[in-house]
Amino acid sequence: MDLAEAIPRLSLQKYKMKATITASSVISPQHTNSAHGFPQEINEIISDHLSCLEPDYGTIINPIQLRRMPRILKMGLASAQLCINRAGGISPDAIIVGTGLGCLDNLEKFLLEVLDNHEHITSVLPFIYSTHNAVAAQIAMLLKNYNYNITYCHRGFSFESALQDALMQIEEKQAKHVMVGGIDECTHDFMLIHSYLGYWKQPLSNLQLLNERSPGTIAGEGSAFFMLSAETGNGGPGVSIEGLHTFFTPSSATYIDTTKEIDLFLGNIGLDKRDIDSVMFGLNGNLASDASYYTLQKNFFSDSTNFLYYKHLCGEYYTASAFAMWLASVILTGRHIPDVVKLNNRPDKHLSNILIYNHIHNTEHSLIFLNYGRI
Amino acid sequence: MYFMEELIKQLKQDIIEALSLEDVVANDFDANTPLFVEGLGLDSIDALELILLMERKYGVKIEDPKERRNVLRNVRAMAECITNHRNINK
Amino acid sequence: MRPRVFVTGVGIISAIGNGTGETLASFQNLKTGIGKLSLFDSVHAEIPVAEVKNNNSDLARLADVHDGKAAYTRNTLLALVASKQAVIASGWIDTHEKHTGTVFATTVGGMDFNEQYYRSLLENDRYKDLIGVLDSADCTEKIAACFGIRHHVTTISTACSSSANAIMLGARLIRTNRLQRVLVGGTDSLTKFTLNGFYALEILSPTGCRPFDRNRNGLTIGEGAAALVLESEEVADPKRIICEVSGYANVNEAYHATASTIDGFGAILAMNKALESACLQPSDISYINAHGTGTEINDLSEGNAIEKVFGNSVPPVSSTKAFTGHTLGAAGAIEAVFSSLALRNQILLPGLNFTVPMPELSFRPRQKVEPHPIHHVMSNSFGFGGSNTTLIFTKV
Repeated sequence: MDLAEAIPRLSLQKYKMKATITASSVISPQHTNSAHGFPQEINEIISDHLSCLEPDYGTIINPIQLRRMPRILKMGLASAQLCINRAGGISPDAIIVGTGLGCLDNLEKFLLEVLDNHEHITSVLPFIYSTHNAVAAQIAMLLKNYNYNITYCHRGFSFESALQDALMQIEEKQAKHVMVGGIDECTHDFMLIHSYLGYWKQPLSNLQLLNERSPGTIAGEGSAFFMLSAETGNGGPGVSIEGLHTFFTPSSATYIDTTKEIDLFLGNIGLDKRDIDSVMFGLNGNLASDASYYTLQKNFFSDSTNFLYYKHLCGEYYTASAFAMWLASVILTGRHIPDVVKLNNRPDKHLSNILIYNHIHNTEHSLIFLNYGRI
Repeated sequence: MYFMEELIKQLKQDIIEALSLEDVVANDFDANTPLFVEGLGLDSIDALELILLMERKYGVKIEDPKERRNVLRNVRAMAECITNHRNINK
Repeated sequence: MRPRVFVTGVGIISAIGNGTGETLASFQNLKTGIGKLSLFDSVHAEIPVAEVKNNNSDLARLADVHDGKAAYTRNTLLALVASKQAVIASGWIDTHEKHTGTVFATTVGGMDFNEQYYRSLLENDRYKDLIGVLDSADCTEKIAACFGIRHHVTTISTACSSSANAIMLGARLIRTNRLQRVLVGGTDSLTKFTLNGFYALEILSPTGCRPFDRNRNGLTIGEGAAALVLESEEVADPKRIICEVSGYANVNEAYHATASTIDGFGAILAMNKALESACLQPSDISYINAHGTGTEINDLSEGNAIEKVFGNSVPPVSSTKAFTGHTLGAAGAIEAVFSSLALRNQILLPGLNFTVPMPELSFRPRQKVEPHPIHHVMSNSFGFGGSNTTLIFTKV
């Protein structure tokens, strides 16, 4: 049975899902390290991959604790600590991390030592830090946090699974505050190996990503951490996550598959596509996989919708949707869509919500709905 | 003595590299500074790295936990252990 | 309303057999799966390991895999073998008759292929068709594709507690009414990577692990996979119900990257929270399937924690890792299946290689299969990175 036939028989249960984003911290290829919303300056890079602009880690974490750590651990620890600081030092009731590739660099290092050195190991550290849950575990150690701690590592669902769990924790009243993060690093070996599959474009300006009509994309990396809270603030306006949905299509999704899933999801949260002010697409410049986004833009959503994109700023990686969620939240709180992320040129309209739709290889699809209103 | 001092200097460098201590070690980390608990305050993971260093680079395998604690107490003790091992194996 | 969560089908493949029948026979006959390394060449060939006694072609046949175009790692094959057993046992015919998801877990992912092909991949594109199966999500996506599962498809990786966490998430997806049925489980194949990693950490037993023995000398790595079908009480066929997932807890010890505290602080927290979630007292637990890896630190830490939580009434305890080895990411699921077997058959499961009691502990691990009234089973999975997860299963 194909999905189109199956969908009418699925009536997803309606359940209340809501959490407020009370703090966030992002390390990315853009100037996102400071807390002040969307960066003033856009980083233009001419390359086939975007690397993070990293902070001085020693000013955020004690250098003695940092000393042995691989880069991805430093990125994760720093963004988690900054997130905690910005949340007023709250100790979260759960720490949940999503990472598609885990601590890839250390895994590669230890693997090559095993293979090339004929198992003559000279350092055990890469093995210790090669486990996918190293980031979440080190954050717990740093914060002396004994609460729920878990890591999801499932390609384009990694961050979404973490987010789903976070929302469930709040719904089950197991947590009032959950810190959730999405993190991935890009390594040289990863780029090399995936070049055989034609994943990457020839070096170009990231700002021209969608203009170059060719196969391939640019790789990226980043670490984005959020404090999600159940408690509403003082009744002032803020951003909340009010919907999340994923669907898996092993042999690529058709337009009908995708639109039925979006309709199902919106119906489940009591909305219609006409209620969506802005849609943020995971366009990555790859002609073949981008086609579905453009079709949705043209045929599915209303003409009056703002369409946005983000992967030219952060590159393509499994947890790029975490960057997207951060971007959507700063757009909503800043009450303004920066020109550099606009796909269509419309004046900023009602900015009361943003629907993020992303897919990886047309296989892992995710929808995240953010609402701006009284929290 | 000259060889001992050269070995100590090399060992210090090896330790700083193996344990990524470049940014955290002051100039007064010397041959007698305690490595564990006090002094540098290294931990059990560092200990494993140092054991591997002794084995892989200097050919000295120390299996007994008591002996390990003794040998790894400071750089001088490590250097003496290496020197003794070399003398025995001449 | 939060529905109860039932186990309606299980599947397992490990060093002590393929399926629950062979597994139980191994327990009855006290036949360990630990033996000599044969899967690959290694300078550590003298270290005992617990291999699944089937090569990859066998596994492909058992998993009924006919897709000539796709590549299947040993890790994924193990997962498919276990999953198919569980699905059949649960009476699952049509995925779409119930809202269904899948949560799987692994630590090594496609490392067996990585070890064979990574060096070549760094030099040329000869093996580019294998690139897509090297990561941790491959087993889950092959399972999801096989059974037509579309929603709530995900993979957990938290070292040795991975698949216990998968079971916990599966139960919560049902209890929060997101799903009616979840295929959960874990898989990890034996790899040079983990063998060398644990060797470098100096925690491998040179003789075969001796859980809770005074002279224990390290863990023995194993491989395998297990799967469970969890269903909501609203849709579960009463005839298929094996037991209930009645409690769970995940905490972090936040102490050390690889070791636990001597007093078992994290283990105490996990066990107490799990009891609380199940609304049970320590005295309600009939049997503890311990994490019991056989390392000096774990068994002392866990043993101390058990005595602290259970006081004067420690229930029967055993670690089954002297049979299966430590199956890392699969351990939680494998031992959950063992817990369900204990409940279904009303038996205590044995350990092995225990001769001298630990002076620090007053309880002695069980050494043979014994008929015993079993109402609630506690299963512990404590992993690297301080990840401590405890599950409780209950007779229905």
